[in-house]
Amino acid sequence: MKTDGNLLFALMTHFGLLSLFAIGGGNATVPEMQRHAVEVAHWMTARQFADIFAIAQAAPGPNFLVSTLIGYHVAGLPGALIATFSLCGPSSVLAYFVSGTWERFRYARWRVAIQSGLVPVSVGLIGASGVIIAQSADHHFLAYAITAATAAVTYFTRLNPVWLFAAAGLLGFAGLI
Amino acid sequence: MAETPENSSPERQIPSLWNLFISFVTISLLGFGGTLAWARRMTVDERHWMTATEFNEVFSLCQFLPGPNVVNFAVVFGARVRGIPGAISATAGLVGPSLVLMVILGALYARYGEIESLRRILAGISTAAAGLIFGMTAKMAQPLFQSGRWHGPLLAAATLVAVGIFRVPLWWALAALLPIGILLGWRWPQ
Repeated sequence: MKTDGNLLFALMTHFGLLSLFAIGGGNATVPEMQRHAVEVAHWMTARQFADIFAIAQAAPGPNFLVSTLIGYHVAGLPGALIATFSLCGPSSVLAYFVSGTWERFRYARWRVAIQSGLVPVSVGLIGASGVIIAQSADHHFLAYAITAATAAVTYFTRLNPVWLFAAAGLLGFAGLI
Repeated sequence: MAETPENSSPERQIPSLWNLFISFVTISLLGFGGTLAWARRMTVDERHWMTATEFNEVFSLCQFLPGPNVVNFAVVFGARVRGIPGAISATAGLVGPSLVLMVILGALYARYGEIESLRRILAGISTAAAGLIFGMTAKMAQPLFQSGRWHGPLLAAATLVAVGIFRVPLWWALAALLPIGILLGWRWPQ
């Protein structure tokens, strides 16, 4: 696969910026990743993004590695490496420097205020990533039903989600979704 | 299980760099749908590298900071026990093997992604993945409702609608909604 320097640079800037705006963790950045990859840069279709997201969720390993798959799709192995390191690097450096001084501000009023402002927004962002994936994935009644059932099982039980993925994959294979 | 007392735990283990690496490999590869739960199990329950209270403190910092939370956890925890080399070996353990796995899966998808039967399987998994995210969102939203104030759930709903339905770019949504959230948090702290 040929690698285009401009593409790698585009991956680096996109994921590098996302790293510092990823409040609420990896899944909170999915809406922006999807918007950029599908609507702005036209790296892939919405269906391909939903596929890639499903692979990252169903495979072991942290979920933010959806960035690795996007990078691979766009520019092969170099793209995968650059996307992953750009998403982790800036925030890791920040985490290293902040963790030293964190305890001092533990009860500071501004810290409490920022935290209580961040939490609802990151909950909303993670919910938005669910909406976006459901929009690309759910087209039939049964698909909506599986999404609803998985949501209920996740909320009410502590069942390992890998079983839900296996069941949904089988239903899909059987041509029911 | 007997808990060692805070701050004075002679039995507390300091992991070696290799131990750190291997533990985070394990966390990463066992962590289906939520690596942080495994991080807690490993560092607190199994290895006794930190107390439950310490974990909660580091955890709240890692959620507060931008970036993938579990990577932040590897950096902060690794740095606490072994400095910069510790941060690097924990992060390498967390990211390395799963990165290799993702590259393999990415290559398989590039080659076989359009095969009809695989397409159908992935379509099925996507529907479940969306459901998993909704279930997690509901769990995370619970404390917002329990706080008894209206602004948390409202702010979460506004973010969801703006970003998920109207597809507002992340930066604009954050620029508009975060100041409101922080202001409300300042006026009515938890």
